[in-house]
Amino acid sequence: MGNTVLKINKLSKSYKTIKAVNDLSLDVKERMVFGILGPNGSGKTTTLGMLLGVINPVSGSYSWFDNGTKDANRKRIGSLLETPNFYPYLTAVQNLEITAKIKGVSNPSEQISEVLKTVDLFERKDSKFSTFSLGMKQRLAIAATLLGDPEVLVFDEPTNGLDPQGIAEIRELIIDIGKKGKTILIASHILDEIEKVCSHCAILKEGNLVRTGTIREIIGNEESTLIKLSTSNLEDIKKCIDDDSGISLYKDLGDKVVISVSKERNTSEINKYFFEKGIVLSELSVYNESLENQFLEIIKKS
Amino acid sequence: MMHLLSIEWLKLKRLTTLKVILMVYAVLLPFIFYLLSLTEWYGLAYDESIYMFPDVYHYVTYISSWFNLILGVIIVVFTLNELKFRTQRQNMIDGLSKREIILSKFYVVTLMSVAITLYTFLIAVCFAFANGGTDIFEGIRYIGFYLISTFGYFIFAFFLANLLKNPSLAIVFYLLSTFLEGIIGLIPSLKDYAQFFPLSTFGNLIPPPIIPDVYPYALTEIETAGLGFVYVLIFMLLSYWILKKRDV
Repeated sequence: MGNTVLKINKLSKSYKTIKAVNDLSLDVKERMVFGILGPNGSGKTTTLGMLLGVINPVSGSYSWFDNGTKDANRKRIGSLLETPNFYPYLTAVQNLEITAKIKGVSNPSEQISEVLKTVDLFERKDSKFSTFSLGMKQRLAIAATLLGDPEVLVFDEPTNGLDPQGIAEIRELIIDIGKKGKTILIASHILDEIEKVCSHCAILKEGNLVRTGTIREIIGNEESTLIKLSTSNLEDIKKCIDDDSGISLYKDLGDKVVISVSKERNTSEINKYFFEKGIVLSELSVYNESLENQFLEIIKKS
Repeated sequence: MMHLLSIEWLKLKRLTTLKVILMVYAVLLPFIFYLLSLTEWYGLAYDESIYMFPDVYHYVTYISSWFNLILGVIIVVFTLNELKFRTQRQNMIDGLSKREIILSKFYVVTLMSVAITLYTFLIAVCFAFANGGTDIFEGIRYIGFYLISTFGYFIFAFFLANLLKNPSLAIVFYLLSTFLEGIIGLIPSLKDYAQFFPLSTFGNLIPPPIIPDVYPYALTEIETAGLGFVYVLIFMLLSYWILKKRDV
């Protein structure tokens, strides 16, 4: 990974008594496809709003391209924040002409045709925005982000309002853009989406950064293996876990427990360890955490 | 400046409401003067000289200035369209600064004031020429005052739109403010101060055309114009300050 594209330092925002974003620090480097994952109301859009200059932070700072918070930075970023915002009485092309003009795109008409083709809206280019379906509006917003071939793309819930086919297409598109070496920032509450398109991810909960890292680090547990155990008395297992610093309780499933052990230790070794402690395991298997569970787990724990 | 104006032009040139209102205005204004010229009503104590230089400027700008109150509504609508469509937010996300957002509207308001003033000037000149007038520069200062007055009303409408964020509220307050200042001006103890209020200042630039032609206020015409400018500046800066503080 190359240069830092975005540096966020202790960014905070509160609305009256509610802390929407709390001391958020993150680094996004060149060519990362960075996901911001969190349930509704976790501060994703507020964070992006601050980064895009429309929401004033209470404290903290951020810097794009090592160039601070200058308004001109945003001309190098294609952004879709929250909803597609266009002039309803203008056509798709006329709307994009405005975007292109603000961004200072050198060859607007060619680029507008090109991005409309990319999102499959070229046939409707002369229809008014007000006649568009939600999915088309969303696609037009994505087309607008591509104008001027920006270095960075910011997508807030990019597949919002799209049908399954549309969702698949937009994900493909984002993956393609990522492959072209662009830096992408995506906020989503859809785990599947983040997993499919992102290289890195930060998990937010109630405005706090819960975890950050590569997708693999968060989902895949690179350093540790999860093992599901069962025995007649789970309390015995829990006691042994406390004795061994290399084993930790990952999750209590009620009648079973999931433990986390370092990668080097295999299941037979674990079996032996418990047997020596006088515990006969009735079940022992590698446990594969789904992203969904993983996410809910992280959210719950914090 | 041209860059910002060209962006605004893309938004405005296809705004049908704006086109219709301006067209109606353009047709109605000269027509009203034509109708008035057929009547025996010469506007308070005037006589036929109102259609000649120099009085024509005073008369025409005074009647036209009532329309500015209505045209201010356009300013409210087109300013708040940007909030309604959330395009102000999008324009900023795409790279405009809050300063540029305010400036681009400021330029449009300026241009519109100038255009309306020129149009009013044209109507006055046409009437005067039709009645055999020759000295076009006589009394032309009213055109200047009219420009500041129009600009003032429009900027005030713009300020209210930014402050209240709601078109209906902004329009009601905009129209109400004039009446309110007018009523305050009738209270004897406040009468002397009311003439310095912003809308009164903009209005006082073109006092009702009565003979003898003396300026009935505490300030001179030029001082009133200066105060009008100050108010324009204040409303502009307040609008900017409001936007700066606000989450868009």
